[in-house]
Amino acid sequence: MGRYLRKRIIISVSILFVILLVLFLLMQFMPGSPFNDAKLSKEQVAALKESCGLDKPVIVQFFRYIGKMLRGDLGVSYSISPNTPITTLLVNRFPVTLRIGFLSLVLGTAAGLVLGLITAFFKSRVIKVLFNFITLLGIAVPSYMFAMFFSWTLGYKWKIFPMLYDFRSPTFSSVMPILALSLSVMAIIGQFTKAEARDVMKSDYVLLAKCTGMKSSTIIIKYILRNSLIPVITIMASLLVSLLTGSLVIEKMFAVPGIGGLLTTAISSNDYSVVIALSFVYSALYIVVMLILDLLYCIIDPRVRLGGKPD
Amino acid sequence: MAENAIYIPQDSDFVPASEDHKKLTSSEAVTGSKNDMRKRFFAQKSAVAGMVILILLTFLALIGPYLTTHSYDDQQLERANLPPRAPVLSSWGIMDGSETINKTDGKVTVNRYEELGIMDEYYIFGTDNLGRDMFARAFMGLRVSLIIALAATVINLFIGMNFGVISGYFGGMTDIIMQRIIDIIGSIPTLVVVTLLMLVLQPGMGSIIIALMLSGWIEMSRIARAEVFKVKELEYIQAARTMGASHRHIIFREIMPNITGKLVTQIMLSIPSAVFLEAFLSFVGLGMPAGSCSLGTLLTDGFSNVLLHIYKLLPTAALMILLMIGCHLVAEGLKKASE
Amino acid sequence: MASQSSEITDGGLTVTYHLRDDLKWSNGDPLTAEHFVYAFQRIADPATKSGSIYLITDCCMVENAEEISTGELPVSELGVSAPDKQTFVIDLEQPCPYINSLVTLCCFSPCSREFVNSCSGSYASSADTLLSCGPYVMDRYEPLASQIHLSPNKYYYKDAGITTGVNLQVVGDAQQALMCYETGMLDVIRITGELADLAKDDPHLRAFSTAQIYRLDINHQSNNALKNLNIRKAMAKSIDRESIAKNVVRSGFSALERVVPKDFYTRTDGKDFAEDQKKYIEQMGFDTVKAASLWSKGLKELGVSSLELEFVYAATQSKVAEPIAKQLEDNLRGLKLKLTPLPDKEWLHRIDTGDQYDIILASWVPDYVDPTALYTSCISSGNNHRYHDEQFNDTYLKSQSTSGTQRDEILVQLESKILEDVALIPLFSGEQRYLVADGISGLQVTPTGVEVVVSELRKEKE
Repeated sequence: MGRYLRKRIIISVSILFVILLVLFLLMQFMPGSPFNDAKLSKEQVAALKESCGLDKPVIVQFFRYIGKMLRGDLGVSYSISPNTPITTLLVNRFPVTLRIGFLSLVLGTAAGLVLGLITAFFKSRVIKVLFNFITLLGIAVPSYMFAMFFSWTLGYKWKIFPMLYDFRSPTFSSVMPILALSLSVMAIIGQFTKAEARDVMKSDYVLLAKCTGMKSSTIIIKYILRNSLIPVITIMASLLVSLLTGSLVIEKMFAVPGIGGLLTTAISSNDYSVVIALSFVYSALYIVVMLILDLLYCIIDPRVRLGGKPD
Repeated sequence: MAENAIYIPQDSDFVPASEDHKKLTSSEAVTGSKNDMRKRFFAQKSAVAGMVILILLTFLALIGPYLTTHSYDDQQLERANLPPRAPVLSSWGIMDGSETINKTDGKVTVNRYEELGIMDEYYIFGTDNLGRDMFARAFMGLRVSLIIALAATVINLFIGMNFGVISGYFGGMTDIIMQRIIDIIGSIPTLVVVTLLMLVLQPGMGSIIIALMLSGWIEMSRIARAEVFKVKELEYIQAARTMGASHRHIIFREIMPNITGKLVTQIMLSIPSAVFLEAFLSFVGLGMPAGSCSLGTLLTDGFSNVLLHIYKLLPTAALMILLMIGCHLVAEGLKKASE
Repeated sequence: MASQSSEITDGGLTVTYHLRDDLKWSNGDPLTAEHFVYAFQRIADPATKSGSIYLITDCCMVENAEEISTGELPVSELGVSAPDKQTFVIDLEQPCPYINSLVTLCCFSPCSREFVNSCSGSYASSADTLLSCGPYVMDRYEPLASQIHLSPNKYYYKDAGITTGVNLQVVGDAQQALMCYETGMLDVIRITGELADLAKDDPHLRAFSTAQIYRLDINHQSNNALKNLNIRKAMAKSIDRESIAKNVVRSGFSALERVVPKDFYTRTDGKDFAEDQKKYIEQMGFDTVKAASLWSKGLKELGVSSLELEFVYAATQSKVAEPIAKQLEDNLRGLKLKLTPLPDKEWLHRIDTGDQYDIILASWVPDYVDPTALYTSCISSGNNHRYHDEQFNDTYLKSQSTSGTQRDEILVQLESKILEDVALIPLFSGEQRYLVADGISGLQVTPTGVEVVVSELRKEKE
């Protein structure tokens, strides 16, 4: 396992390196440097460049850039909030996005598992049709429509939950964003679990367990749930991606002060430094989560632990 | 027990092979399984339904915009925001052009057609805020989305499949290098790829397709590789190899036909994500430029007015959802048929 | 607010403000005239890189402002002074008829030097590094926040009768905002675009007439064809402003066929400067037949049969730009427009510099209540869209040094010159509409800016 772990970490770090290289190159070609100000004299620009290390060779700049990024110094914003360090912009937003994303993932996964298992276990036609309907809807309808639907029903008509995020009651006011985000997660996990659980139920060991007269609840928990969970972890990474993109839309709808909203603002006002910094943050987050999932997979599935081949 | 009865060879069993028999190649088994798959696919009602939906949508995308007398980009400002009104149905009081609006100070029902004195005009899906016919626009939008779907398919086939098959077939160092490339590309979230692209390119169909080219084929290549791994150790491939068949022959004649099922399933699954990508990008203002017509821009437009004119959202939303459901049903059917 | 009285002396070159003596900052420190001096100096200081510097160099020409902004003179030489704690004096290089309106802009608000220094560079970047001298004090703010919270300021010089704080919420989706208003979560919302139809007869609707205008700025240098008067005239006459205002822009916008909108500036004789809205109908009125004949005349003079122009607009305003482009192309045979939607920043930059466009959909908000605020873009030194006319420049200078009815006449000359020469094409002017819940009073919107003033906003106790 140690060897596998080392390999994974080396891969992750090299990926991060490549991403930083791409971002650095993009940064070099982007217009809108803060030194393009026509009011500054040539000497002033030169002095500024020297103070920022821009007079050094590109390769030195690149390593300086990596060092800065890894130390958490993401540069300053050029246009959406001029001269504010991007770290300042992120420090309060990141936890908000992370919390909502994490809770949607947990809620969606739990609901999906339950739905999938129920459908796999009961062979009732009604349940099957209902399940297919719900999961198809979850996959085929964009999350902003769910957001609108929830706002209209839970917020506007029945007045149960607030329609906007409010820092004075962060938990209560994030209920609707979480609901809207978790539906697609639920649908994907549900479909996946159903298929996996079906396979597991047909397997010899479950058949054997049934033959020995084990209680069906024990079978579900001990064999089916556990064995269906393993492949579910593999699709978590792709779910995370859909959550990241979903958060852009949801944060706009519910006025959540998170990084998704920051990214859309930055893109629409061409604030390259913020876009590039956020790209780094998103990629780093994704790589870290993938690494964690890999380790988790490694712990749960003994085949990986012993054999060392992730494929 | 009858099946196990000992078979006694007869003289007729030992005639030389006819010319017909000689024509058969090793891919004979494959065509057989293909026919089986087709049968199993068409035996599923939901898969057939999905297929019908997709064919119908394609057909409508082609001819839809010409089914009405109104052009899709003809602006008539005084006819802005007309609700749907259909011939025949309107005489029964459904879709007669009247609209109930929930104003902040109470409900009102108006019929803009009457107000404008155009009772002989019919806009089946109504008009948008510039007085353009929504019917023609909806199908124009569908056409654009289907073009994106087509692009996704082509990209998946040409880049994803080839990458995966080559990587899986040759294995060894080739595989390791190609997999590291996949690891790197796959580790950059699509969102980041798209946003970075937007910095370099103008938003539009081109950048959506380039984004798909950069990262839309990863899943496909993974699946193709895994399938090739499964198939390439089978005896008939080994046999072909010992008989000196070229790599090209083995890949295209022996392996490919056996993994088509899985690959087509993956294509059907990649279409919704491509169409979704477009819709999502349009919603956050990064997709097709405003004024152009795609399902994404139409949805966004309709969505921003849903409290006022819900009819603007419904037809496009229905088309989008039907497209999604169609693809998923077909994919599901293919998956079951190939198992 | 702070001033009890003001006087303009020395032929309009010296403006003196007398402040109240009981003013305090929200941290309890006294507010003195020195803080106004510092505020002006901060704007003038090139190190601040203030975006408002043009206000004191071009719009009202404070003494030495120009030299300070280029670094030739130290900041302390700026023509502002505080002879004592309650007196603030501005010395101008030229009389400025609208100075009192100009100094109410928020960038001229007082600013405490001691406090700014104590924040070591992070002044006004969070709630902790900001001081208030109004009835409210900000107690929650982050850069680009979607939520800002204000509480009553206990050091305000009088009891303002405030019962509750103010929560300012940025809502990305207009419908979400409307639903929140209807459920009572939000008390005041701004309502725009088509959603305005939902509230058009609502008794809670408050309309504020603002001088926000849309116009097409014509770049007079980018394309030779645009130097042709007939081409410009044809373009001005081929846009059906009324139909677009009514069906597309909506929310209180109406056709504008002159530079200065209605109810913006009152003449010395007490009448509205833009009383006669149809005065320039000959130049600006929608008339496809005349437009077409002017157009073909213009093309003939240029010796071409078709024209391609770049039409730039903010991507957020594409709903307005599209029908304009369509009408121009439909009514002017042979015109092909290259549409370029841009992010807001880039669009503003092009409006300001006059770079990279042939025509641009601009939305303007004058900085002060005076017609010249809308004319500056046409003087050669303003240089926004590269219009150049010596006679216009002279007349503009004259408007700065005259007053009363004489000045009003000069203003009319300026307006006529712009419209007869089609230096730019005015399109729409409008008002801002808000839905205000019961029990809320004191909502103010400045007539010049798009700024909402919350200082008088009060909520009745329930």
